[in-house]
Amino acid sequence: MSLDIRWLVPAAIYAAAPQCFAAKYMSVDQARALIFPMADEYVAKPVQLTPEQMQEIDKLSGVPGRTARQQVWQALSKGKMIGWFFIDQVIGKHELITYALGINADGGVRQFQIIEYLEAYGSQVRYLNWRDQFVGKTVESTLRVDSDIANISGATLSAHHVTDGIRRLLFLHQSVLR
Amino acid sequence: MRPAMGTLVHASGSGPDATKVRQAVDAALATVERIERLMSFHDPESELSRLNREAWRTPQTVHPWTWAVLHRALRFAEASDGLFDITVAPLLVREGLLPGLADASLQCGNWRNIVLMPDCAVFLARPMLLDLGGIAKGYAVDRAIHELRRGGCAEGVVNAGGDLRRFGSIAQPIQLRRRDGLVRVAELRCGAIATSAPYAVHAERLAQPLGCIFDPRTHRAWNGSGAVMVAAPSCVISDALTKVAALAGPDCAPLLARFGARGFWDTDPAYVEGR
Repeated sequence: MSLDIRWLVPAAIYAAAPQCFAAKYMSVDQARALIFPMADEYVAKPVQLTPEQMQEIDKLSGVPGRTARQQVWQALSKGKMIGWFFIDQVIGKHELITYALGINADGGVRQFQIIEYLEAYGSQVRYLNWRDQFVGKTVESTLRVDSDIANISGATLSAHHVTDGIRRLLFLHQSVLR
Repeated sequence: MRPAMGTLVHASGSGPDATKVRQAVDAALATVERIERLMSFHDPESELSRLNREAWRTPQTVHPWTWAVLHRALRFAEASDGLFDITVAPLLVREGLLPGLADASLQCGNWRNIVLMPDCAVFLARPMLLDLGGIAKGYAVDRAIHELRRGGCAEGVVNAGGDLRRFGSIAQPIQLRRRDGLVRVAELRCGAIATSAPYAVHAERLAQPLGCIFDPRTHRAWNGSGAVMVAAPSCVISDALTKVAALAGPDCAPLLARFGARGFWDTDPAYVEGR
């Protein structure tokens, strides 16, 4: 029996300079500008789902909802509606992933962006080539990992949960916002 | 990885012979399950439950492992002057953290009323409830590590929900979960580490409340200002002494040193803000 441990920083210094794996990649405004560069106005249209709507969306998407309240904005360009902007959270492995999703007026995915990622592993879900697979997907798409969305080795749970979250938002959009 | 002891127990090893390694990992996990069957408070069939029912009437003979855990528990109780005490179970029953009738007449015992006799016999000088929740997990990790070593592993890790022990040549980063994410606090090459936090960092996401530490002096739950980690040569030491470190604070560093252990008291501002 022996103990071989190296404390990286003494506790007192830690309190002054906390360091962690939480990564905030962008602000909500930056995500908006990336997803809808031509939008000049956003109108908040928060959605409060009734229990029946919750159930219906759970059933259609196959993903149980986390909350009945969903943050949604309408994106406008020169007064014309060009799409919907969502802020949503899914669990990665243990921690919440915050992401932004843009859906075009025709109901297809425009793009999504990871806003905040709190875990040490699995942040590959923000790589562009993985995110680009979602562009144009609709409620008609399968939208499942290992089917039309590639899995990511080392980020399996994050990849599944982000895919599930987006599928659920597409059905929410179809049920409530169209 | 397997569910056991109210958490997920993870054991892994590596060595020159893949078949032997796999057998060793299986043996390690089987050992953990065996210890849970012996020492679970939740299981009415466990040896511990038999002790709680019968040992104040007649001395009970128990498995050498159960006896060994009780023996160590008493050593920690004596060294910490009762700060580590396996007889605070009635407080946890009252709070709904352990099963049982929340009976007002159920008083806390005192570790001094536990009598260990030769040939693995145990006697309780008065009726009381023992709970090994603060030490058995660490002991199980130690036994599992023993199985990995015996099975020919060159590297091995056993992690039972934060009670972690490893051996080998690779330094493993040890991270502490805070409200705002994970913080790397140490690198562990060989030895054990255990963590206690004053409350669940993400209590709202848990299906049921986590266990917590009760102060045997005040009969109140520990409500400290940050997480506490204790590193030690074996996991039974770090598991038990993390409770002492939590209740006594940095003043108990000399006591930890007597067992070859070292403490880390986190002072994360998020804990203070979160309250």
